[in-house]
Amino acid sequence: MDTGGARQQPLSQLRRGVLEYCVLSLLDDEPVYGFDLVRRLGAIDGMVISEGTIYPLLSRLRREGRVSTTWAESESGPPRRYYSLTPDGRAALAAFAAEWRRFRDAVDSLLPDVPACQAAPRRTP
Amino acid sequence: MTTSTVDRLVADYLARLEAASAALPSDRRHELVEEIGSHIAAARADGAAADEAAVRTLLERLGQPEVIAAAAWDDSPSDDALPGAVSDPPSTALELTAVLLLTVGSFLPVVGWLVGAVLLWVSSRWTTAEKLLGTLVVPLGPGGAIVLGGLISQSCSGDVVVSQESTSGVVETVVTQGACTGVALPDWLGVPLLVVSLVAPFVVAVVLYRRALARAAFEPRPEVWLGT
Repeated sequence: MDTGGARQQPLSQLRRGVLEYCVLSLLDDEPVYGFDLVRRLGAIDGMVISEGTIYPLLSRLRREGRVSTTWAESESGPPRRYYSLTPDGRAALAAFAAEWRRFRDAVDSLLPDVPACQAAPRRTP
Repeated sequence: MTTSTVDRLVADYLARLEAASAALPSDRRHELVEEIGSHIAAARADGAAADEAAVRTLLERLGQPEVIAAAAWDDSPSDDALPGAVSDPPSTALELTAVLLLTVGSFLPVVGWLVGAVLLWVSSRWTTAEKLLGTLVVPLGPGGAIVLGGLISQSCSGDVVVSQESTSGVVETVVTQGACTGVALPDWLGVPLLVVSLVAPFVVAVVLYRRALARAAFEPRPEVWLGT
């Protein structure tokens, strides 16, 4: 299945790679219900283009052992799946956070200053 | 009534998702459709998608079903193509041995800790700063701290009383004051110092090992966040 490759927006690959650590980060404090997690990420401008793509990501994180899931009854509707961080996930998050800051600073040090209007992330309504 | 329109919108959307993800293994496809379905159900139960316009916005934000299915496809090859890559991360035996020797091993006088320190510096999974931390907190480890603590703490021998008869026949008593060696640390300082030098190496060891583990987890999949 072709998702566009090099023709996509320049940041789409990078965004997708970094997104999983943003997901882990949101789970750092407490288990979060999938819908809540997606809503919180979706509320951050420029973070997610298609909110639905977070679910395959969560599924992969679960298969990799970085998050675990528990089911809880809901007052309205079917049982809800809560996601929480495993020790592996927490360690991966910590390692990424340190690396990311170095990487971000390195990129920032090379990039030319961009006028604010171009730098603003695009977002589908 | 709008409810049926909304229901049809949602049903159409989920059917498109189901069709678009036909190439996925059936359990993966089932999970995906169920998760997206319960997302929509939760939004509606929440009142966040009360009317048709709100539901359309909700579905738009979720994205095209084909895009979601493609993302699910992209997320699957990592473990399908590399079976075991996830369940068998690269060995961290070297790092584990290093931190064990630096802590528990330090009770084997000098040698245990030294070997641990060598392994610490040999590993490529720690930064120089971390290696310095592992070495300097605490040199010779908790075992060394106990031995060293015993050596430098003050020890005194008691007064020595010697009675001797002088040539004139008078009995003289010579008192030689006991000798003290080492440094006297008051308990309020010495005890916490000892506890810290016993505990700190273990804390550092745990932190270092977890970092090594996390870095090892990165190794088989360097494409994870740079894209393939």
